[in-house]
Amino acid sequence: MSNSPTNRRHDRAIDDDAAAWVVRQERGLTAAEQDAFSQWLAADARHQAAFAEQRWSWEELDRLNGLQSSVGAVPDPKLLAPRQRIVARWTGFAIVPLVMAAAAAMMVYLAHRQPAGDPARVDFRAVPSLCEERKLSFRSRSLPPRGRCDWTAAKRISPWPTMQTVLLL
Amino acid sequence: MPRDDSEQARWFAEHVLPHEAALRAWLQSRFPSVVDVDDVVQASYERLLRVQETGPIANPRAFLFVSARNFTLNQLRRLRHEKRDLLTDIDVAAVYADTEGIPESITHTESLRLLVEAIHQLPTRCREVMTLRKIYGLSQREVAMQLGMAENTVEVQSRIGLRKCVEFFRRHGYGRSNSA
Repeated sequence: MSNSPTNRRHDRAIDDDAAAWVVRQERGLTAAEQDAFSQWLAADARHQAAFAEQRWSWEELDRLNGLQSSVGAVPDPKLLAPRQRIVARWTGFAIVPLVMAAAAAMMVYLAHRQPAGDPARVDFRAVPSLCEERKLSFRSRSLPPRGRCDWTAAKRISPWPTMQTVLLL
Repeated sequence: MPRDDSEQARWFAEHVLPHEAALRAWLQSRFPSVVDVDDVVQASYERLLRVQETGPIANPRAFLFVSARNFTLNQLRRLRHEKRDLLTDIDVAAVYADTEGIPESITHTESLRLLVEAIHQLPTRCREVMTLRKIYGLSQREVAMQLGMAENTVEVQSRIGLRKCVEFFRRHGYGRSNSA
């Protein structure tokens, strides 16, 4: 048999039809399908060979029945997903504790860097009174305009940019 | 994996026969209209032994239950008791979930690894469908429900998955003549 692209496409189409019949047969053929299947099989000797191969392969895969089973196991469609995806999924789960750990580390750093590192305990006595007002407003989510605060003094109190953002926004 | 008769008889006695009572009870409870449970059990055993002669089976109990379900469904269809709504919602996976752990020596057998690899290399949707069908033994309808797809989509994905698995087997020289 020639291995031309046309023949390969034809062989592939036969394989596809054969696979379709195997899968239909598995769920049960209707009477009309049974007739169509018989006609298809009889139409070409290659159909029978292709069907036999697809059927055999379908049944070979049954050797894997119950490969992953344990008490209370829930069928996992992603069981055989590529490793990269599994890593990505784990990374997704891991990012929350990682962020929490990073935040905790930064809090420790701030606590050692300057005693008033926690924005809740910033020493606003070092800045003008408007900043005192700002601190109170921050809690009520209604902030005064930027121009009314001594930003230089505020930065001196809170050196960590992110904390500053939180503190001064 | 050809074996002599005594070895196969021992394997059968150790790994298959202990599940017969559970299999019969399950068949009788899930398919009360099945006239001859003996026929189904016998056909399932025959298929199990035929397949086991030519290579490893990951989980004999699971294989047995899936085979028995398929034989029963075919028998019922032949008897024109076809009520697909009732016949396809059969959770085989839940029945064999109490299987003991599968020995590593089995799961690492080359031919089983090749079968796993065949599914592993499929496009995502095909792979998920084939995983649920072949590893968890779910029916077409159960797969559709689990993945939130139309049954027809599962059928199409199964067809594509099977064809691609066959192509994979050919590339790796895995066929009827040398699968053992």
